Amino acid sequence: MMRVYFYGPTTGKRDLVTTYGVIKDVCHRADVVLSTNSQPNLPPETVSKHQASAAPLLDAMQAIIVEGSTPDPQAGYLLAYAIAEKRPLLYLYARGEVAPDVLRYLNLKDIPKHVLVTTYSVANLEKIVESFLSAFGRVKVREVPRIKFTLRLTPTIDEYLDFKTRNTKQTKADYLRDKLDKLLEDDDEFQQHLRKRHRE
Amino acid sequence: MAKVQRKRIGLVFAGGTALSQKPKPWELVRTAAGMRRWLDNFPELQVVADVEPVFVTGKAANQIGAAEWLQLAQAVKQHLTRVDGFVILHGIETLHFTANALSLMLRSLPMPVVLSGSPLRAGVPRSGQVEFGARANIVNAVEVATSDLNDVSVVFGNRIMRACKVQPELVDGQLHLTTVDGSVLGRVDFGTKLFFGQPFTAKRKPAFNIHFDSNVVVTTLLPGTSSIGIRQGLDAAAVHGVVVRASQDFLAVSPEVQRELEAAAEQGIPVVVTSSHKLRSLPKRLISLVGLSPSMAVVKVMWALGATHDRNKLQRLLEANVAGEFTKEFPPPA
Repeated sequence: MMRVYFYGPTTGKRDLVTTYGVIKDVCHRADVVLSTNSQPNLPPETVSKHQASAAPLLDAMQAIIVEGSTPDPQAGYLLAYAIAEKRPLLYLYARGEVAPDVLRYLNLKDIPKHVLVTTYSVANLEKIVESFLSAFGRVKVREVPRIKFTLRLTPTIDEYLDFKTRNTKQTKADYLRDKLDKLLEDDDEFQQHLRKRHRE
Repeated sequence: MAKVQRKRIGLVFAGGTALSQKPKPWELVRTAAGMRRWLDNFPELQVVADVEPVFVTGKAANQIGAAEWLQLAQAVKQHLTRVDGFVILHGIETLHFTANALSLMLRSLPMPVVLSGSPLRAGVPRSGQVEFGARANIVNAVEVATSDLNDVSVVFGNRIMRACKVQPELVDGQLHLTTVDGSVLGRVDFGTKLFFGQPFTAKRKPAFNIHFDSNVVVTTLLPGTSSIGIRQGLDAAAVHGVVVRASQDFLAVSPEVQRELEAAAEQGIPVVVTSSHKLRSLPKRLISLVGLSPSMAVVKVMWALGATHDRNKLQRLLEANVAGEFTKEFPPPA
């Protein structure tokens, strides 16, 4: 299971609370274990192994996400560590803010490909985090069903859905979504279409 | 966007600069001219702090001794007002000796002095190398140097340790640095975390006790050993002190060896017997030194001899807890 370390400074800014919430939600949907300074979320055997070998716990993380809109030395340290250890890092700063101070000390050529520095807004943050996790963690982020769709059913189909979901914890909508997910995963033509769209 | 006050860190070069298992020539900084290229290839270091290079020596770890310890202490003293902290890069093999020495020489510091460097050992296969990266280790050291740990410390991986207690340890064939009592001041896991708050904030003016006398004979006494080595050592010119690493029971050492040591003490050569536990019986003329790591015991005698050759003053200096080097928790004798 992929482990991601997330760092965002503690501030009173309400926007950041939303940001942190979105990042946590995406990681949750990707089945990624999210660690923070206060909650490392690591099994005790990993912690004791690292203490014995003197390897920092950051080494147990497959990627790092930093919210760096506010000047913060900790964000700089994580950026330096990620470059040194070739660890994927997503460095986020809010759109409209000036580029983080720590970036002044790196030339563009010094920022390796595994370090992604980007601006974000609440509208596109989810997508940025999703694509970072997919690209570097090779994880699939479960999509949230947000599109409302009214579907008129025949009584027999409705009875069938009742029958299939009886004594299960699934709703009829969940059952239908699972079936459609399976269908689209097995549809080579559609998968090809998706790949083509991603390339564009 | 408000700016954060950046720290200025003096990066002192004294070996320990290899960044990979098969280091490229520029990775091994042998002269002051090599520092710039090394730093150019380590741009992420400047993200953590403004790094100011200071060259002291390009010698390998096994060639570093008292002369280099003095140079390092002088370099810290010289640049003290220009920086907010120091990182001393040093090869891992003898880093504990240098750390012990600097902890005695540099007291009441107003800033951190961190010894670290590449944990990679030349000519050692991958299986014998530590599990963390050389670059990350140096990044961690610079990170600790920006903290409030105003003392001489050692950073090894995620361990922040008091320099006066550091000693080497072989773990599964890998050379680790640990402390004589297993204590750590803090850890660098996701950033610097000090366990004791800020207990080392200097209240007095910095004190520099920069002196060493390396004309010391060091010998290990075990039951059954002869006195030939000691006699040869004492016959050599300009021996100012003898350090005897004794086994648990000094009485088990042959009477002949004991007589040699007492004779040396009578001639005015201080003989210091170091051991992990208090010895049951020690001739009065010999000075007992208990509760220090093996390297610190030798380094402290050299340091004390650098200050005085008077037996009584020497004993007082040796018994003084200068940097917190004495420990009660000692591993049981082998």
